[in-house]
Amino acid sequence: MKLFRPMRGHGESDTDAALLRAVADGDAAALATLYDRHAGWLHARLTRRCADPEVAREVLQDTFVTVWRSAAGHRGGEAGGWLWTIAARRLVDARRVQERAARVETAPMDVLGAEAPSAEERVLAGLEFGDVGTALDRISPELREVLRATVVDGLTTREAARLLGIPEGTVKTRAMRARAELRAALAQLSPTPTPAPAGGPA
Amino acid sequence: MSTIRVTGLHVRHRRTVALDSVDLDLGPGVHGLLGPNGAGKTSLIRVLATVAAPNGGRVELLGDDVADHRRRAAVRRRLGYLPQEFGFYPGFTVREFVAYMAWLKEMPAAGTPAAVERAVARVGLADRIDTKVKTLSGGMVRRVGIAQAIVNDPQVLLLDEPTAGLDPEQRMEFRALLRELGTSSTVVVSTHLVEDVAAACTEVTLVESGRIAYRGTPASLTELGASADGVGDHPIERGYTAALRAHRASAATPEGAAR
Amino acid sequence: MSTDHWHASDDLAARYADGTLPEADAWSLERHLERCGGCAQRVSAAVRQLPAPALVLAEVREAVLAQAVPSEVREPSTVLAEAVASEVREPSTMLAEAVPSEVREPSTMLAEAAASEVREASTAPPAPRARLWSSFLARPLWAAGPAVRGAWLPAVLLVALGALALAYGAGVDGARPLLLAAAPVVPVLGVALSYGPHADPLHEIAAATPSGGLRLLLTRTVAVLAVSLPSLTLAGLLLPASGAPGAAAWLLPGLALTLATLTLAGYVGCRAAAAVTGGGWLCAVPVPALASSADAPLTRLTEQLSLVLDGPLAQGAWATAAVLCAAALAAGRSAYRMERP
Repeated sequence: MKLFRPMRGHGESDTDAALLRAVADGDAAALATLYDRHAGWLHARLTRRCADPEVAREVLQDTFVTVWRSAAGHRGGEAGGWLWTIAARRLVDARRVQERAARVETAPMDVLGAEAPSAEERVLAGLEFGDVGTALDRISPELREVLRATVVDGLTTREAARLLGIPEGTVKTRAMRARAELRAALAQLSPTPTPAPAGGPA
Repeated sequence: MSTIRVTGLHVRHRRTVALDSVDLDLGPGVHGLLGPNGAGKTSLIRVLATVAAPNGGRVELLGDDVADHRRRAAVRRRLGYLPQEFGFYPGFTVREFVAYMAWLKEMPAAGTPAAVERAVARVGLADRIDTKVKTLSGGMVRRVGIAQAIVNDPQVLLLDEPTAGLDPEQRMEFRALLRELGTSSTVVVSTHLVEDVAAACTEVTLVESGRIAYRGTPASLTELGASADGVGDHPIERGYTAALRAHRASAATPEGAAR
Repeated sequence: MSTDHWHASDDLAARYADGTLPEADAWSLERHLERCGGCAQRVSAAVRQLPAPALVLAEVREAVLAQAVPSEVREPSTVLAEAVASEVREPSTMLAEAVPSEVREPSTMLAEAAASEVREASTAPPAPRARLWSSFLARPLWAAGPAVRGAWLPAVLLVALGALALAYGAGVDGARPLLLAAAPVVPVLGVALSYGPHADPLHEIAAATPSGGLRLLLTRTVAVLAVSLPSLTLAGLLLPASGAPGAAAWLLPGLALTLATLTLAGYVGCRAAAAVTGGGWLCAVPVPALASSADAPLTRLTEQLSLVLDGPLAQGAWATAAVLCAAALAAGRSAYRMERP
């Protein structure tokens, strides 16, 4: 069946938006192209947030299967942002299923995974430049992960609570504290919106 | 992008007119369908769900005319529908029921078990997944109905009175789910609970006597409640009654009738 | 966007990929990747440079593309075309052939089940084998509608066993003509109990799915035929002939009446359609025979059945009727549009 589909030339119209339109029309080749462009970084980002590699893999697969089914629902924003929204929601869903499994087995499964804090410590050990980095270094890992979930990953309070395995109220108070502690540093950075620390040579 | 486009829709039940030249254009987001009982909300949802054929007018879902039977199957694969009332086979467990619906929706078999678990988890019934549906309470059966509607990650999701029978806490959870679903799909929720609309919807459509009486956002309806004279405990309830009265008044005057 | 002029260097991409980039830098890069397709591509390429993620990415890619099947594969028109084409070959196998392919090829199903099992096994946490197999076994059963799930199934067995009991238990000579007279109505009743708001508690939801309408009714009709054709024919074979036509003589009339019911059902609903066709058969064949001659009703019935069932002419007529009904069904399938409100 696939063979008889008119193939779209990806020459001039191979923007992500055009790819998504083609995917919405059922073009599997466009899905493959989209996958090759975005799966890599999505996987890396999921891996940073999820200690279990199998969950990261499953979430990545679910994300692209969802893209295949609901590309037509894409409202024309940035494809990368849309993909991450789906992946983040799927990650939260995966946590829910895990939580259930943990309850059933009565084996208390560490929701964030045992390796996460140590990995974060390792990461933080290498953090040496930039005001935000310094500021982040000062606040506790609990505040950092709440900040990452709510600010960077765009999750709702409820979703962040699910992801991190803490009550919603705790997410709110931690987010408030983290913001308060970071506000000064972020204000310092705001005149130069370029992420200088990231772009600078090591 | 509009995913639901309805023009000149006309639906009759025997001699009574259920919907009268309704035009509607809906895109992704959560759309609340408000109106008194018998206003035509269920008729509209059933027509959008491709369950009932309209007596006149055109219904386009996801860019396809649903009257065209060749395109209808493709549209229906991307559709989720929770009717006001539904039954089930007595022997089914929650998992079997949702998986059966996934089969009817022609989902690829490989992805079905995971999709079923996810849908059931999303409605908070993960710990009841292998329970027989007939042993569940009314509110839980309702949530099973929501799970079957979302199992295929529908792009158009039609829910007729989904919060009926849910307790207040479940309603809150359900609203959060609605907001989540509305980020990527077009969700139409019929309800007579104004507070559901205020909490979860991005847009409001008010139906009265088979016609669209008001279209706006929860905020604009609340604003209307602040400025116009309506009855209700909450500004949006006052907005609701004010919009209804305004529509009735305009329908009663000759100019209104001529429209 | 404020970051439009800034792009990720190869070094930055590599350090993000291997997880050594500090958190704050990772955050700003992540936000940037959501907006910048070029950098997204570069970072993805950097991730693919690492052996472990590269392997995962390749495997997931394969799994995703395996699920990305074009959705137009199973158009009802194709199914009907197939149905009508095979109808020309051999009427009795027509529905049996048309629908399994419609219901999903068993071999594909196995492959799919196996594939999902492999995936489940490798994805570890919730992978109970038993669940997969039970869902695999459940699938063919799902083709069975409310008729085969409900009271109709015992009714069929009751007819078959009743005829046997009549012949061998009560010693009634003429059980086969009675069975032959009743048999064509059995699948018709099965159709009536298979689809529609009165018969199926799931009707309202099922009607909004791609399987809804004629497709689901055909699937369920096959289940009905798969149960009734063999059981009633087998029962007939076990009965003494008593001068009645062969045990298989009812198959073509049964099929023709079933198809006629399906054709009519598009316009008037399953229940009314079954009443017309099943009632028509009963009024035309057994009722006059049993009512008219009080002295030897069974003999009259046998004669009547021989007239309508025996010989190439009668069977040819039923075959023609079946073909015509199938053609009418194919032509009138648009009658199965949507329920009138």
